[in-house]
Amino acid sequence: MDLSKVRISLSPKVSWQRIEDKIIVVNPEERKMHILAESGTSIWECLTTPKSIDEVVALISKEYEVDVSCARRDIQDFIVILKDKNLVIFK
Amino acid sequence: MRDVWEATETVVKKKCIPISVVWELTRRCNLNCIHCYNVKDSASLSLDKIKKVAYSLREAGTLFLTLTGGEIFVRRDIVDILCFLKQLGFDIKIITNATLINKFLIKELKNIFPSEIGVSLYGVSSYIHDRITQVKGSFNKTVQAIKSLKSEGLNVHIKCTLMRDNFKEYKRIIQFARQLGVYYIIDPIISPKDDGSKEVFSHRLTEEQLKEFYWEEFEKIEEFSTTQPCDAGFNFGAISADGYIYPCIQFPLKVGDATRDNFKDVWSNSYVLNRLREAVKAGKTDCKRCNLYSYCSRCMGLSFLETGSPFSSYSTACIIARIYKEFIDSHGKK
Repeated sequence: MDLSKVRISLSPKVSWQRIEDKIIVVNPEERKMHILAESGTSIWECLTTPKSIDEVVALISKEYEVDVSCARRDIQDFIVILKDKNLVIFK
Repeated sequence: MRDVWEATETVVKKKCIPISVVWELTRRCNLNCIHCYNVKDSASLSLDKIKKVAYSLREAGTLFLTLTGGEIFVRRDIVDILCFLKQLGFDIKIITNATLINKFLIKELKNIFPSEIGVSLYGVSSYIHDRITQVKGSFNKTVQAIKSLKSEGLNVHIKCTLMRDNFKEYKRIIQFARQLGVYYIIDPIISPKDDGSKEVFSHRLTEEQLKEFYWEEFEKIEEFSTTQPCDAGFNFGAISADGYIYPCIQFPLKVGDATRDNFKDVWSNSYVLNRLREAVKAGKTDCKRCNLYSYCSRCMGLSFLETGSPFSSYSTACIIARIYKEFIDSHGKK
């Protein structure tokens, strides 16, 4: 999936809360609950305002002090999973 | 996933994070139900104060927010409130009589998407329902709203308080809910009014009726678990229409003022709340020597309302424990 031309943001339908080092996400439409951990929480909180994939990668790679090209593939895969679960939207 | 959730749930309980809060947005109501525990008054917070409290709840770790009244849809700013709370990230549940729900509100609700909309329904005919709500025409409006909410894909369910006045209806309500394809909750407990007055007790089921109801319910349970202490005051809290912080909406023990104090500070540092938690953890109750103790599922709030102490015996719990023991003795299930 090519994410280079989209703005990514949290789906307005989901609810969420940080509990210690985890983020609980509820999708009321599908009656499902998801729990994010580790770098997933950083990516989620980064998406509370819409961003491009480049912006997300820049922020996360800086936070975790990892190489941008290494981080890009993992972040992109994670965001695609979030999209498949209807937790984020692309515009 | 279950393991991760259980681990998170453990943290929530251990650290007393108020993950679930019931918020009474108003005590005004357009119905006048004969059994209602609310003492109707004009108490309600302004939208600005609601926003301030909501930020405070968010900071405290609240995720699940149940909005109740009174009737929340009597507030003219209810859509603004719902949109704001959703934008902050809360999972919203609504308790309503649904009589004021119209096409405009359904459209808004579809955007907000509450995880649950619990609608009070007391019978399958206007004869029974309208007699309980004391408002003619309320049955038709409520049923129409349930059907509309369901057809729009919203998670609606029926909530029925069972009392002498509608006892014969409860199986019909279950049937009705099944026909509509919605979940239902039947609750035979009538709480004292918020001011402690007990006039509503005249509507409580008789012991025979309670027995009939509970025996049918117990039959559906395959395995009984031992009674767990309630989460009120630990990871479950409430805010009254005038902004007071309680352990539960049915447990009106004032532990703070959410309009004045930071919710997280109150939840962590309230002397009253911490004393309550210590007492609960220590298993404090006046009932330990009772031969029904191991059959009893007590509610601290009902005990508090009926007796003034969260740890005393109270009539409903004793009756239900007795019914439960009789059931176990005759079925040998425990």
